[in-house]
Amino acid sequence: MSLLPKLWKIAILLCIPAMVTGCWSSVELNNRAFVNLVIVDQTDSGVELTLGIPLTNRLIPGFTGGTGEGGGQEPIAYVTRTGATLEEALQKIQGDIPRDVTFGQTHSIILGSRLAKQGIAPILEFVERNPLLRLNTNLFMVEGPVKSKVARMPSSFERFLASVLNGYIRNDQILSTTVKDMMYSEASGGDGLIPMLSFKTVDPSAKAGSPGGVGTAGAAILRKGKMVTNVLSPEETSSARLVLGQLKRYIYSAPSPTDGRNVGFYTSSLRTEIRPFRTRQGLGVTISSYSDAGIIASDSDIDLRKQQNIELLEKEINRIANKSLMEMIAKTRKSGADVFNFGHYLSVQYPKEWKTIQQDWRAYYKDRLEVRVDSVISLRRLGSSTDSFHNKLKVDEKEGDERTWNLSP
Amino acid sequence: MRAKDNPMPVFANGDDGYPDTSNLEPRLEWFRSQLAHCSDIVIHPFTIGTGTACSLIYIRELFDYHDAEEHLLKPLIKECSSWNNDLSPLFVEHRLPSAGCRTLTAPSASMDWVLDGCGLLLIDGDSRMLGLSQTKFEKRAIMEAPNESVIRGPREAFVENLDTNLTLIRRRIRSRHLKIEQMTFGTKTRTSVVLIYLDDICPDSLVKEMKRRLACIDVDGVLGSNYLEEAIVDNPSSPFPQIQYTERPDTVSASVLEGRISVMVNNTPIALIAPVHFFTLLQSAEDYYQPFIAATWIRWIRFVFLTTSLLLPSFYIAITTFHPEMIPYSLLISVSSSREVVPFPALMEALMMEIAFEALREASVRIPKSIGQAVSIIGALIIGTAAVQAGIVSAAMVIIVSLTGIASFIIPSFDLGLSFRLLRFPMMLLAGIFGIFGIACGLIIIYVHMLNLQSFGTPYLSPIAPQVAGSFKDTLVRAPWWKMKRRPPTADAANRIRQKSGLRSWAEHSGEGED
Repeated sequence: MSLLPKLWKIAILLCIPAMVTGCWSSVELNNRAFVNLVIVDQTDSGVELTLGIPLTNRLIPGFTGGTGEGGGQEPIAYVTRTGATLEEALQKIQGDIPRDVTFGQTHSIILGSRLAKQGIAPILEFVERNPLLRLNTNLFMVEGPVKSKVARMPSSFERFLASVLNGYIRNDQILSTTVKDMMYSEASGGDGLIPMLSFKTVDPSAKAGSPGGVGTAGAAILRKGKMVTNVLSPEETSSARLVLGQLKRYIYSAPSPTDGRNVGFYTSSLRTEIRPFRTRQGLGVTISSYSDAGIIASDSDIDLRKQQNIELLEKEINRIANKSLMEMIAKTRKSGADVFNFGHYLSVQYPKEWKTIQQDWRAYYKDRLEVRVDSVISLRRLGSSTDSFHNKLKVDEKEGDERTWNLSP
Repeated sequence: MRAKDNPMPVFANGDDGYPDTSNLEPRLEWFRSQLAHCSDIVIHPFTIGTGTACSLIYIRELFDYHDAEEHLLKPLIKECSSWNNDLSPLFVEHRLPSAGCRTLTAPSASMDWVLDGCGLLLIDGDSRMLGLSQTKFEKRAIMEAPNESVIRGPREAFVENLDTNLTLIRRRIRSRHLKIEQMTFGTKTRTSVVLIYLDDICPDSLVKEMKRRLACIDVDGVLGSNYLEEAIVDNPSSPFPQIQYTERPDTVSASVLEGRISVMVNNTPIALIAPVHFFTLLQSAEDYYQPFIAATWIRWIRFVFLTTSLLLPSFYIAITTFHPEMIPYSLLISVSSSREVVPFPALMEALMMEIAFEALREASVRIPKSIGQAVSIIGALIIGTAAVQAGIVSAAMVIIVSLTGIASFIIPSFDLGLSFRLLRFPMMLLAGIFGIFGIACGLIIIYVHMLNLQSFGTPYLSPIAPQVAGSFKDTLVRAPWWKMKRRPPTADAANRIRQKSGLRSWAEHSGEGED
């Protein structure tokens, strides 16, 4: 008997908090415009905001490509407005779109280099304050005016440019920098790396299916939230990813120490340790990166059955890795941008010393910080063959019998 | 326990105007007046060997007249001549080759005897009457359970006839502890109702409680088990079934073996079982006939689809209208483009489709079989591609509704399926108004309600809440038979051991033998 009143009490109690959920109201899917890509650039007339919005009405299942009219149409719209500020441009876009602009599905933000040179703080501010924009939204940068390049980009593999970018991140093919990363570094000075995209100019009349126009390029160096002129090359970016522990599979070749012919490797980073240290001269950091390597091809005569040869190879690829790491670090030091947040490590480990150098940390980083790199690459996978094909063929030639190709070692 | 007699004047105490005489004719006249306008009543007068006039009163096609002719009329006509006009042995010693004879004196009892389908023999010169119990009427044959079919288990299902049904139980439990207590309900229908339980396993309190609740019932007719069910359940306003019903004698037997009590009503092929718990309703007879691994897996599937049937449409509504950022991007594009041409909000769309589905389901149960196919074809068009192509509903919604429909039929108990189907609608409204927050509120309300619910004094969510040790063995999984050593908590606490341990001890011994 007392059950129903009790239930009513609970129902009423649960309904009361419902009154305060003011920011929630239902919006139907077909009344939303899902922004999948945000492009921000600086033009002479102000901030130029471009939103990539998939046109779902052109993607109705069963209708795609059905009618002559709908078939050739791009399923995405890039809406661009320019305003004095980001907000103003956004308001202009919202004012012109009949649907509710929703940022809940935005995974990528592309910045124009001109804007990046002026500072990315407004973008971070915008993302931070918008509850729907995720903190793990990826940041990319493009050299030059972005809008015209993106609009002309035919995408062969994916329907949307945003999917291409997601693919790069998902498959670890590009340096990944999220808004959250930048916010962290903003707290300690605003230095960082942002991956760059390259758009190869493609003839607009080229058929769909011609090579995709977007590709990965190096990385831009940010100093105090602003892009500096120095840019990391794609190879240097790979080294940077090694430091960040993001390198999943990097393919390169190195000469064999035995005969100087090339051996092909791939490296996947396992983990990276950054340890600050203190010497009489001052502070320093050691970067130890641990990676796995494998051989994918070999032109060399090197006999991989011998442990000492493997060790020789390991030594060689470690030397290459150390060299390229040092070059990359040198470049960032030249720009005075502490992109790997060494300052943070130092401040935790040696707070007393940190206080003395905190004021001119960037100058310290540039000129005085001692950086040691210690790459530990272990050659784990030799492939299922110990001899190169090259070798086997040569052996057979010597014997003069072409029929006895012995493929199994 | 017999129901009170009807207060109407004619049948008031049944004996009004009954002539206090041993003469045949006035008594017959009374019966004739009482049974006037009953064209199925037969009053068959005849004279037996001693020259005494007799009359047999019975109902046509209910009383086995041919059997009576063989075992009553013939012996009476032939043999009674040797009794020297003293017919008392007939009443005292039952000198007739027919079982179930009874000497009756009260006219109302005799009248009931006739109305039960038995015969009544009146003899001139003796005020006593002889009741003959040769009933014979058309019954449905025992058939395969239409609503609870199994693959490996027994096929028999209950029929309408109570006596046949009781034989089905007795054949399964041949124990003297199996008690079958009969009662009669309905002043007009005088329906037999039996309580079936094992007196050593079933707690006494449960039997007493069942009798106490049944004692309050006083109706004119009981035509189905639900007449009683609604009167005896703990909380009739709850959407959840608090009494299990089944058409399978093996299910009743298994429940009785677990210390539960079954109520069977004559003329109904459905047995009631009490008490019942939520997790019991998710068990199917098939679970115990299949290997335990398969049965466990099926049970998990059932749990998944139980949730689906309650929540899938509401989650769809909540996520698409309130939280689209939760959907993976490519899925969102698909769902969103399929919704593109739909003119209704997601809540409306879902309500429309779900109600259409409910109508289709109800129609398919009620429809005559000959036109059933037409309905299913039209139904498939309504809830199918035509609706999508017309741009009325989205393809995603069709998938949601069909999946929910299938899910609701996976629940073994039809009643529980019904209650979940019903609860789905308030959940959809909550989801449409408050999003996932609303769903959470709805779930809390349902959960609190279920926690409060009791079935014959036992918590509805037992044995999970409150937890009973080892209870997962027959709820979340179906443990192998050799592991289920104890009866569930429904059984009397003093008698909970189902089997001795070591059902598989041969495996250990054979291992030793090999060494």
